[in-house]
Amino acid sequence: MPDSSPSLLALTLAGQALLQSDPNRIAVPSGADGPLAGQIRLAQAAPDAVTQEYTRLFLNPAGVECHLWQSVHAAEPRLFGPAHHSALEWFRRFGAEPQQSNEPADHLGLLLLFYARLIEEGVPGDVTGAYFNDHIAWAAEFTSKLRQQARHPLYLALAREIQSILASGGTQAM
Amino acid sequence: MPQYGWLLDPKRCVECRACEAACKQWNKVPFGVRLRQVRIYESSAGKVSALAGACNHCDNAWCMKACPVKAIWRNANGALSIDGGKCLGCRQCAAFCPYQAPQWNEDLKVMQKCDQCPDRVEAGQLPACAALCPTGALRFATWDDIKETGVARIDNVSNPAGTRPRIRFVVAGFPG
Amino acid sequence: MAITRRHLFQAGGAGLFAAPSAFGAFEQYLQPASRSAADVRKLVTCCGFCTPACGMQVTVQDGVATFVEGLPGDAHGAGHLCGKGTSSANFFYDPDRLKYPMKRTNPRRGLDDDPGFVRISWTEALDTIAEKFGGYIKNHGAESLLFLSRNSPDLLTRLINALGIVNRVDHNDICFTADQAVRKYTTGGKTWCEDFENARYIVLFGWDLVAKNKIPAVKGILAARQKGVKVIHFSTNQTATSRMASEYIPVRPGSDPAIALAMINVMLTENLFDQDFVTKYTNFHQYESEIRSHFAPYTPEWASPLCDVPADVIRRIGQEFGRARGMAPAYKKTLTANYTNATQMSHAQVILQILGGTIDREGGNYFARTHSVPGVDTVYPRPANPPKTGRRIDGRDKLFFVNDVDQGIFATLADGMLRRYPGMIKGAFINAYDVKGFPQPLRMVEALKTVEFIVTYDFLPSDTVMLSDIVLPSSHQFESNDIITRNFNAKYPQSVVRQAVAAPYFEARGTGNLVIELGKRLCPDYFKTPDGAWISGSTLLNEKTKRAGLGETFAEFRAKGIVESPAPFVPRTNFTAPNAGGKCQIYVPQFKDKGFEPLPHWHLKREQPSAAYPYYFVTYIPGTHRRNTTQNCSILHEMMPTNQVTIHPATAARHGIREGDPVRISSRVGAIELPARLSRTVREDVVLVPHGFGHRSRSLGNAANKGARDGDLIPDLTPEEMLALMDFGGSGAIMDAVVNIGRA
Repeated sequence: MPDSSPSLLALTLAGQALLQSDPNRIAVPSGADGPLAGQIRLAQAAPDAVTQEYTRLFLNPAGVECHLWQSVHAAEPRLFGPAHHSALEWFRRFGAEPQQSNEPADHLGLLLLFYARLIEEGVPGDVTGAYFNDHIAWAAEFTSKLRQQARHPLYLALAREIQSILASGGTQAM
Repeated sequence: MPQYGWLLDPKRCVECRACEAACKQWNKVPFGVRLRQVRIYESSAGKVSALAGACNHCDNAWCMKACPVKAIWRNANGALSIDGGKCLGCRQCAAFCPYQAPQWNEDLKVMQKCDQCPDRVEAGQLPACAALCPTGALRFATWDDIKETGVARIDNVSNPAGTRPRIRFVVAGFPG
Repeated sequence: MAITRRHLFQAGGAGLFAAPSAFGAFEQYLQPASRSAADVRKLVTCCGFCTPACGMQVTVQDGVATFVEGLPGDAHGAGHLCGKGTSSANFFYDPDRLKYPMKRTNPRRGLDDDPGFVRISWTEALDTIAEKFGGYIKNHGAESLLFLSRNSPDLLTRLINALGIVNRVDHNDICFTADQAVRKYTTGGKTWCEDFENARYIVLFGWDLVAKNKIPAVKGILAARQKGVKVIHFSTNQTATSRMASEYIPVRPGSDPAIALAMINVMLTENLFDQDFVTKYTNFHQYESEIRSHFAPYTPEWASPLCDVPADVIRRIGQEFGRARGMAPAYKKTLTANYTNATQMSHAQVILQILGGTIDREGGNYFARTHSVPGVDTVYPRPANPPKTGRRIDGRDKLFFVNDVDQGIFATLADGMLRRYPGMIKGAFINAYDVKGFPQPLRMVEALKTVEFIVTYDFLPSDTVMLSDIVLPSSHQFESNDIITRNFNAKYPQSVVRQAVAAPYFEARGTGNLVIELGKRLCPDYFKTPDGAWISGSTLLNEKTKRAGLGETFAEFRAKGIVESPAPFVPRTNFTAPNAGGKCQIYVPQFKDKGFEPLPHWHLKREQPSAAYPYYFVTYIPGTHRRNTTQNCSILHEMMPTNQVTIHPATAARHGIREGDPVRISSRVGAIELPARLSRTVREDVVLVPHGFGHRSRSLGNAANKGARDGDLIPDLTPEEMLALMDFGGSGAIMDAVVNIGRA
């Protein structure tokens, strides 16, 4: 099972890149390699382009390209929908809750950070697998939209990273 | 167990659709599936009536007979439900229903319909739609009471007697 | 999937925070849980969609509203809501709602231009607005700022007055302004409560609040009909109101004043009016000869060809109304408010109420008895306001009686900005108004393009948001606290709490907070308490609660939910029309003093059918939607996703139009295309289109590009035209268009 788990670093970087529009606020451990870590480091020198791209992709009042919240990808898109309540329930069973109580709990960045923590803590594979099915697998649709819409290399790298997380998690969930 | 039925009083319906919204939020019905729907009928003479339609939980339910996998079942209160785990999505129930009650859920690839809010009824409450109707245009009560109060047929609306639906209509107008 | 104890144990007992995570990110975004299970409760609040603000009970799970139902004991909804109110949570959790302040980066401003929004902080947004607005006032005077907003809440009014803003413009010209202006000089004010339950006879002129699903009105008419009270519905088309009425009488659009004048004629000629009331409480006898001779020519026979209602029917209804001392509810928010003869209509209607002796009487139209909730100016006295100097962009200063009630005007705004005073408006603050609410919305878009700096405060990304430089996310009623008095069923005072059932989501803020923050930056002396501290919304609300006698604190009032002060209904015997000696005025000398008619005359509406445009265009707000704001709400969108044009089958046949065919509808100012719906519920000379559709903002996931804007067909106005048409109450006249149709 551990062999097929996505790397903690990949999950952590992807989660932060989704939660944070300013690349300088994403902690990249020294020695971390891989395309996403590299893109974040590069972007830290020119953060404005990333911030603008983040707004355009995820928050733009003139038309969001990729919604960050799982509930918005449900058959009936809405904020704070069933996926929010389910994510809260998962977090709480393990004694956690989001720091930002005024935003939905089913933000893909939070969901990935929580997933990383379950794996890091050695939670059994059937449990992480169930979590994956409940709260990570949906990101396939998000990722394909992100791949199509992203114009900044950081977000293209992010899309590829989430795609490989989905691939390895999918193996594990079986 | 008590048996229930529905009473529609079209002169009271103002098309506010609180019944529809109540059903959607109580039963978490997804976009595109409308278990209760206010439908507007206009006769060739221009007479309009508004009726809040849904499953009428027929005693002789053609949908139940038509279902090839017996996914439709009746609870002790007479309410018909579709078992989503058994439903194949063949839509035979919809083809045989005179009331457009079974609805296709594209997301789950199954049919869904009104199940008469069994959770609420068991808790002594009215189904969400009837509870939230502001005018009494849509009422829910024991079938014995409903049978006494309403008539079986109304202009404009197909209501075949063959399925023995648990629905009656008020045809009397306002006094004066 | 159920998680077993074994899994929890293996996860480490103390949970995920026992040891630091590998890269420290987990702890940055998640924290130890404050509770182990969901918190579910039921909270009392008020709806925010329309003015009755019906009481609600909201089931809330972990701060998320999951079920919305009516509030028993509430004088307005009386335990129920309409479909809109019931769908409030779906509106609230719209994924497209505005979440953070944004600024525009693309200087090109148009409905189809991507604004290139980037997220900014509230501080940056407020600082920028204060700097820009302050600069415009300093360099161009207060006249250079446009506040497109209602005159509420009181904190916003304080800001507007403190800045000396002369151009606050609202939509009430297309709603109730003319009626308010007339009522001030006839009954003394807003006799807008209707005692339907005790009414003896009810005549509705284009009044359609049953079909608009205003629950107090629905329940009122229902109560009257259950008691066998006769309800007459004069209307251009058959609606849910007509179905609940005893008689639906189709009338020619814009001809209602002819019916009302003829009913007055019948009541005067046959002396079928409340002699006692008229003698004691009105100026009837002072002007009796003028009044009698004025109405003498307005016979039912005269009215009949104008309104298409047989003379004997008008006579019978006049007699029945007079004998029963009937009531005719005010036309606010209804069809008849929106022709250029609306001022005359309102005056005639008030006279019917006066002759019926139903002004502030049981079974009639009465003043609301409410708790006296003090405004901010009472709680925290302010420095003197600067004088309001400068030009009025909508030309309202030419309309004395509109200026007097401080409402409007949408219909003349674009003309003022483009033609009368081009370039005068440098900055605009738009409080949740969409361009679609204006007649000729594309002209309003052009007008907004002439503004240097536009700030829009709204809940959803409307078309107006797309034209803005700074966008501020507003909170929803589910995120707000307030005291809501009952103003429509109000024989004695009742107040219902509005409380935040959910935390403010994302970075949405309430109007009070926004205004205080702008006030601190622009006019700090006006936003301090007497002891020099900044005014705070919550302290102000506590103070209002206490002074209104609703509780020691707002929290105490919140715990009660509803506070009422039952008292017997004491009919008013002294009325407050200015300089009227405590009487109601049938004949209004003040109108004459200003060069208008002291008694209502018949005027044709502005636009009449012609060879080029042979049909009356009638627009309406369907009960399913709240104007142009709810089309994106998933539940309401599903019920009514788009608009159609309703045409009589005989009319359709003349044009070779069949059900569902695309129809091109054109007027002298524009054209739209909509699918045909054939129905005998409209007159053959009426083309009927619901308002609210045709959103262009592509970020409205459900509503974008569905249907068409009715406003594209409706000509806007100038103040001069209003005066020439004797529309001195300033009706926006959005029904007053004529159109042609053809198969598209």
